[in-house]
Amino acid sequence: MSVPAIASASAKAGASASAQAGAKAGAPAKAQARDEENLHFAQRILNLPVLLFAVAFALAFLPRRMEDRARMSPIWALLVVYVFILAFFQYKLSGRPENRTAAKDVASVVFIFCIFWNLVTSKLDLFPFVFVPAPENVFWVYVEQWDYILSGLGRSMFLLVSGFFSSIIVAITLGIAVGWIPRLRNAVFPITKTISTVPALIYGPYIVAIMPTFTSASVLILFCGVFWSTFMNMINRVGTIDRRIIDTAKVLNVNTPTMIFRVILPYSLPRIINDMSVSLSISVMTLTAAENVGANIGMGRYVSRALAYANYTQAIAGIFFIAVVITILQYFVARLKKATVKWNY
Amino acid sequence: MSVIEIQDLSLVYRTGKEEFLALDHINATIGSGEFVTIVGSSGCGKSTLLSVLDGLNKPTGGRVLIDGAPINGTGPERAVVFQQYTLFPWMSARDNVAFGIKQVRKGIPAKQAEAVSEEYLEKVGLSEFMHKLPGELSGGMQQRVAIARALAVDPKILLMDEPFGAIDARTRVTLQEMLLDLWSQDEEKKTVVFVTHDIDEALLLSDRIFFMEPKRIKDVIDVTIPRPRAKETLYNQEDSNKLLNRLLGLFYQDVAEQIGNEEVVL
Repeated sequence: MSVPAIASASAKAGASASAQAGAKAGAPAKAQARDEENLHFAQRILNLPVLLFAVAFALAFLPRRMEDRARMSPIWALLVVYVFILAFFQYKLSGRPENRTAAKDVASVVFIFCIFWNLVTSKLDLFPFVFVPAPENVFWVYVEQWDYILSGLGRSMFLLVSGFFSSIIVAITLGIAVGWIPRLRNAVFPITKTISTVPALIYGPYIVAIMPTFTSASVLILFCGVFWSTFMNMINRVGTIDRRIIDTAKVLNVNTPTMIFRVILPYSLPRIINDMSVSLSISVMTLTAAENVGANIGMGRYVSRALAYANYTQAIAGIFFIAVVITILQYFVARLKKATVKWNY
Repeated sequence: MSVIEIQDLSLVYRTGKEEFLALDHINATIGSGEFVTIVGSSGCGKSTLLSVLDGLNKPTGGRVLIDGAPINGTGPERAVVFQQYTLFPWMSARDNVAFGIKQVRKGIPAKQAEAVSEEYLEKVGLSEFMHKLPGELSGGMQQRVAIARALAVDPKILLMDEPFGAIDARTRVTLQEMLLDLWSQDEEKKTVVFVTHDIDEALLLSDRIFFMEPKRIKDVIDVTIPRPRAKETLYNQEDSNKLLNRLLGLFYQDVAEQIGNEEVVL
């Protein structure tokens, strides 16, 4: 935040100096300061991603050779996706100046991929259409099956949130308690280390078999998928916490609850949240795999069923969807970190 | 304000089967309101001795009495300032000081703790920086906050373990003079035990210097330089030069004794 603020301040100073010479003071200074923060309209429009967007957009309207062999969906779902990408790019462009080049590069790559994909499938029909579906067909899946996909998302999110968060909370609480008591730590840590090496996916089907309902089974699988590593990390973290922090707390005469909740927990928070983004990816993986075993709806189930019926159009749509959902979840974790942790080690 | 009596104090560190004698039957008395520095080369046990006084280490033999009562662990009558990284990095300067106050004065309203905290931050000249996190402060400022936190609980005894050891030379002088100022302001002076390896610092600050050789106190030196003292005029006096030479003599003798068997890092 401070960088643009300084930049605009110096721009204002420079502008006011030149404004003193001119007749109209104030107005040009303001305009120049605004220019410094916002991009020119021309800067927003005259760049490679926007050009590529125009190409991709126009390309979508050209005749499609694939139409001779396959059922082709309307193109407007694809166009909406293009507009979304463009809008997101423009949003990123309004952000910090140092990220602008990256935003342009990423958007260019994405549009080039879209153009290429559209060309080789729907326009030129170079590949077997069953295996390499056209983009308009893939994105049309969302229009056609939005209610089914959303209910799957809701189901998956319910399992994810209940399994993931209960696991994180229990693992951290127990981890601090075990880590803080040396005897318990020495006893529990080796056991945890052994158990945590086994991925929850391996014994997932077993849990599905022994639990009464699929819901309880998948929550438990998710719980196990995140619990052991989080628990182990937490024990480790408390055991190896900077001596100076603990000593300082001790000479300040803190009691045990204060030591745990006001010292150890806040001290560990940055690493807990860093681990959370890794655990989140693991639990999404665990979840989608678990859904293959016994669920009837869900994000992972959607893809696996599509694959089972050799409907690769739906499968790809499902994979894109999962990618977007995970990215959004990761974004929330990053926001959480920004909101809670204002310092670093 | 309190008398510290160290009686026949020994401390053995055990790591696995190995035993290491860090302190060997130490006896000393520190008077009420006295400013004592413990000087010695690295590894002589001066920080270990302080850690017994602050309660982080339990002696394996002998005991420490404060006003006649043996100590058991840490206590609110003692405040400690360590060398470095002793502020909680997630709390602002004000919250760090207020946190210390809240631990000693249980049930104090948050507003009141903050007010006291602000008062002490002003004493160490950091009013403007009270909302900064430690990571945003320089090393010298961080030590100022640590000193404010120690003083804000109004302890009878102040224990300092090389508090200015990691501070650049110029800032160190400022902090030493600030500490002397704050210490001499009190009507009933706090008893201070200050560990350092800097002889100048010891001469500037203390009433008595405990010179440690490994495991024990080798010599006790009365610092007769009149107060108030200032760094720049310290060596204008005959006394101080004599004391300095005596201390340097002790230091080099100590080093010479050790070089025969093991390497010494000063």
